[in-house]
Amino acid sequence: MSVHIRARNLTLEVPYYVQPERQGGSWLGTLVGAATSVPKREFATLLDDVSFDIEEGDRVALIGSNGAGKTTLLRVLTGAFHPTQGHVDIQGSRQALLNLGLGFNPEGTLHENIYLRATAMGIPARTVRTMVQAILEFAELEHVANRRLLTLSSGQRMRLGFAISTSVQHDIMLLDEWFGAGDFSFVRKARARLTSRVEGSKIVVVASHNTDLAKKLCNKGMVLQGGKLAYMGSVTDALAKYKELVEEQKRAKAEAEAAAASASQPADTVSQS
Amino acid sequence: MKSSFLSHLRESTRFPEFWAYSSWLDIVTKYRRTRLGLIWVVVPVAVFVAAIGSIYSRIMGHEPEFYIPYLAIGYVVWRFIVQCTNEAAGILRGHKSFIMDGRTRLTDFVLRSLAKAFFYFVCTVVVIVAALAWSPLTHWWDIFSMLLTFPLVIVNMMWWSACMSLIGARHPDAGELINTALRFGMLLTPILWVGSRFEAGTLGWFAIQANPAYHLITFVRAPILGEQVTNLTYIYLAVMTVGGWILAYLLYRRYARFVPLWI
Repeated sequence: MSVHIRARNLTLEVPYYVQPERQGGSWLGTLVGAATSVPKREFATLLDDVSFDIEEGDRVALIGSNGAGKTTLLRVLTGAFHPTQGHVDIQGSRQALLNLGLGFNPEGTLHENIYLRATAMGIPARTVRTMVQAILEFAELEHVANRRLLTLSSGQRMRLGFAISTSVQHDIMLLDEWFGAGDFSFVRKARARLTSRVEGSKIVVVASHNTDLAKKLCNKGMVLQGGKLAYMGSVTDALAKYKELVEEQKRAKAEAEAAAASASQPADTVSQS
Repeated sequence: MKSSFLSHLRESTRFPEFWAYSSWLDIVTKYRRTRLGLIWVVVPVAVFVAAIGSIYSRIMGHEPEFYIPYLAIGYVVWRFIVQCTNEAAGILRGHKSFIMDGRTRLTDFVLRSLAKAFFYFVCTVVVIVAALAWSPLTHWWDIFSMLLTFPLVIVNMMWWSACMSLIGARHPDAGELINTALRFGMLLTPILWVGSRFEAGTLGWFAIQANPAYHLITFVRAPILGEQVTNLTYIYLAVMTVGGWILAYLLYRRYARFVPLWI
């Protein structure tokens, strides 16, 4: 069966909590307020009527400003979020590389944590056994395999997480920003593996601000703005469109400011006279 | 894509690697730094049963030979119930990173919380066996009746943990609330005292009969001590088991998909 992702009219509304606004008083008031105020529940539309088709062979770069809905869309694609309306049809095995450093047991040894994460990915214990050595080697952590995880630096943890998550080739790969932690030589090695995984995958969706890599590795671009799909097409066109949108926004903001300034001017003169 | 409690549960039992391994790892690493290691699982229970047992048997006016095995069984089963509840209430929040990565088969996490509590339970059964062997009124091999009775406790804890995990994911208060309730629950349930002290029809009797923990504990405890399980307990447990599973099924179908948003 062909690997694909089809999304139709995806809408996602989520509840979120806001702390009621307070008049900033003394430091004591702020502390008491933080402890006693009850958060209010409100709803936000994170994805608004998004439809698209991703076919086998597509490498899609998700482009958009912060808060445009990139990570949310990835989470819908991993299956964590169910859309409030619309539906998404995904064919093929998925692997998400969203948070590499999380999901470990800090008290366990590296060895044990490899088992933990790999079985969490649904890999049978038998297979994990054959993978352990390769993972440790790739992460360059063989010499500390029996140390507790909490003795590792965050960069080393990241390396381990990356090595585990990329140890198996899946049909669909979902990435949130290209991997960039670790020292220089490891980043190079990781990039090489990532590139090979990207090439080996049938579909890749990556949320990124790194336009160079997006241009190099992706063939399609999807521009999100305020939860809406603003553009989908070739990656160069998408990047151009995104630039255009940002310019437009800047212009609109400048205009709005100018308008506000000119609106307040006559009022001032009136009050003066 | 509806998530069904039963189909998820079936999948989880078919692929136990993750939840079995991670609960085991949790327990092992918790005691890794200590010198006595896993013996710490048993020590608090043993001390409680021995100390409270010998003092309270006098206060309550029971023979220690009867009272200590009675207390041991009740307390160990009660601990299992409490541990299941406590674990379940926080389990989904605790596995946020896994869930956000798309591992939305929540029964994995529910089973993980159960597996952990069950492991502790199995360890502490030693205390019951010791109490039974020590008392001239009982034989240590009476413990084997548990093989028949305890599965029902587990079956009930399954639906209960599933509901608790969902409620705990939505309302973090639930964990605190249940914690408080369980602290009183230990005193309100016939564990330290004997339930038959109230006559049928009195207020105390009704309070006991309404208590689900009482029926679960009695169901396990009575056969070991050579007592009769009343029909009322059978009926209560049957209704609770069926009703609870239906409740878990409905809650899971309705709310499981919201969990990633809540946490």
